[in-house]
Amino acid sequence: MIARILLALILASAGVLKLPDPSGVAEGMAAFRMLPAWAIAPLALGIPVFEMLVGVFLLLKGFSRPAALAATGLSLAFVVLYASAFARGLDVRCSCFGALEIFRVTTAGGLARAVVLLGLSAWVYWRVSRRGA
Amino acid sequence: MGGVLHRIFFRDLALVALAFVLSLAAGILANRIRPDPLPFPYRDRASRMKEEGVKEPAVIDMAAAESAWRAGSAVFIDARESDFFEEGHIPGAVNLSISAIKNTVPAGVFLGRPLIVYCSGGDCEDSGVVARALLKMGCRDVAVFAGGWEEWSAAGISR
Repeated sequence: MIARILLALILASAGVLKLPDPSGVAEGMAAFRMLPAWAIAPLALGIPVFEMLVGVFLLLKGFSRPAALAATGLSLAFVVLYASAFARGLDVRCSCFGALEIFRVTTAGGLARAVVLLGLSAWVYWRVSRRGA
Repeated sequence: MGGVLHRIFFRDLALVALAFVLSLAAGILANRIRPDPLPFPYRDRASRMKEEGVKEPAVIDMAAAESAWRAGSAVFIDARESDFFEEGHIPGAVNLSISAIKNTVPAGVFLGRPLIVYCSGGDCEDSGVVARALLKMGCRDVAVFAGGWEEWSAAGISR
């Protein structure tokens, strides 16, 4: 329960903080040099909304399992992006929490954060799946 | 049992896909009413500056950078983020990263002085973005040291 609330808060706040700065989010995504140019703008505009939705649905009874699955998929995508950037020696400062400088960590820090988020999401998904939520 | 679990998983996956598509649609629709909409397809700052007709900075090699550094004839600008700068930089360089230049215009001390901008090296792009931004702000003599910190630190240069 605590893990689910924590995950919901992280995702919802990440979404809310990114909303006002789509160009910062797009720049952050482009810095990974993995996504095609046509995909960057729709993802930069849509992912904050998706994160907010997932955060809210994690707290709603009956929707927490698909929301936890979405959180796991999202975190896995972040891990793949960061691991690839780290392997290529790229200096990536994603705007994962909008313009808040305190969360603009190095590539290694971002990878570690994404791995922790993946672990938390997978744990929540496993828990709610077992309960059949 | 396995079949039921698979069905539940794929139903969840379908819900997630639907929510994702709706989120993209909502984000794109909201972009249409923004005062500063994000361009489609996305173009990075370097491309936008090129389109706006911002002059291209000259690109210099290690020998030219070293010679300017020894002569003290240019200000070196390190375009990497501050913690990379703190780990090591060309002696005398000023740290001015993309995120810093986005929010603050550097003081007029740079105007009129030759500037050499560098970043990590290899195929890093930050030096080009910062150099173009400085040209756009009115700095006239701006060059990019393409080898960047990687080449400089490997050369082990000292006075």
